Amino acid sequence: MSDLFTSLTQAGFQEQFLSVHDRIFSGQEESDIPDEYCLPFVDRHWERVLLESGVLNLSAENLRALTIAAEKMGDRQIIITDSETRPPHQMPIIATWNEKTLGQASSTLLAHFKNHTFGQSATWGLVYYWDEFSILGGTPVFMEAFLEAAGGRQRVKDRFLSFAAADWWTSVEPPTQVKILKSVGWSFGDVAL
Amino acid sequence: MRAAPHVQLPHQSAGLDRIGVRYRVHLVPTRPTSKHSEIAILFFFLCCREEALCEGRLGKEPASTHCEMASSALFSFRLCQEKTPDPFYSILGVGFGGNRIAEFQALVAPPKPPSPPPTPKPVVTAPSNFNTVPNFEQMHREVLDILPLGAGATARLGKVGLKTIQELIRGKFLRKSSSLQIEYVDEKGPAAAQRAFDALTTNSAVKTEETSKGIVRSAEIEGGGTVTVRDFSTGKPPRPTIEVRQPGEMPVKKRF
Repeated sequence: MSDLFTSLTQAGFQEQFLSVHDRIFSGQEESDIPDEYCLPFVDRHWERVLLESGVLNLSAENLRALTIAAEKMGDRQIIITDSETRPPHQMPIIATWNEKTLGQASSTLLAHFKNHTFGQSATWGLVYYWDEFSILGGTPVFMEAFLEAAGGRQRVKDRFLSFAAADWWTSVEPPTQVKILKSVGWSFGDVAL
Repeated sequence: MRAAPHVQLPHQSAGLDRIGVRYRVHLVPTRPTSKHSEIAILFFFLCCREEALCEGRLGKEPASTHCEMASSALFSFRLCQEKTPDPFYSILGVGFGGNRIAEFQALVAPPKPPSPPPTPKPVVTAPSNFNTVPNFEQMHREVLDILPLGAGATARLGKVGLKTIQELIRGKFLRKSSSLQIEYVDEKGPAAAQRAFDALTTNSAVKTEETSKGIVRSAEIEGGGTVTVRDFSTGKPPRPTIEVRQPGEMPVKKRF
């Protein structure tokens, strides 16, 4: 389909990447309870932040920050796999950090499902929830690199909150929004004036 | 308890790609027999007229698993029948052998309740379900022929046309940002979303993916991209959605 990213078979993914994947992701995002589905990582101590959209449609600012932080951890390539399908990992891809590459992948079937993005360093993960938000989490070193590249913790929060206040209601009803924000320690009252 | 009916496919499958040929579907009250394994089923999906898709399966598996796929269709058909009392079913597509795919549609008519006897005979006591549960013979008689779509012409399944997609995504978007367009359409509910998707993909190959919350159906778009329909979302209440993703275009979600 593309020279920019490589599709993996389910078997190929399981052989090469499943063990790394399973060290990062808990699979909790499939729960119906917001308190649980916002804990998608095996390491519950990882700091988590909310991002608008998934990796395949990230804003240029967030994508740049994520690229910098991931490359700092040695992840020059990312693996994106469907987590919602049963069985999962039916359409994984491996891609480089490139806006064009990810843009190409965003028109594939993979983008229509909740998905997991990670690198082989197993130091971070991004879970896309399909309803226009993602949770990014990682080790302190990774998160520090990401937040610094993104302009600071407050800026990342402000960016998401302004999106949430304006548009998120079209995807997630307000009470659930509040719970999702709370799960990462945020609230609508945190918006910097 | 009445055995659930299923659709038994005709054995003379080689004729299915001939234009204008009529095919008969039989309802039989048994599970698939070994005969099913002789039929090369590429995909097989059923749809209630008023309800959501029962089952879709694009055959990627080798011929040896075809029997299993027929079982899968049977299972879903039964599920659907339990969900809705409407006994009209559409067979949206069945593929046979190699790459030849015939698309056609069939209606399975509801069984008629038995006519009342001309003269009442009080000495005969009917079972309590006599008028509501048809027996196999009644159902069998009511099965209609499968009529190829498009005035007798079979169609090769392909991708959703660009023009059709453009017509779909034309709308008043509540959210129109650099990353996504979302619109609430007037019609509500999963049935409306599924109907819209069916209309969109009349001549397209439709795949299904199972998730823990339901089925997602998808089709490819001419020139690249994909369109899907799902009845559920992360939040509650669930928002049935048709999602369109095309290269170089922002994703579009139509919420029903």
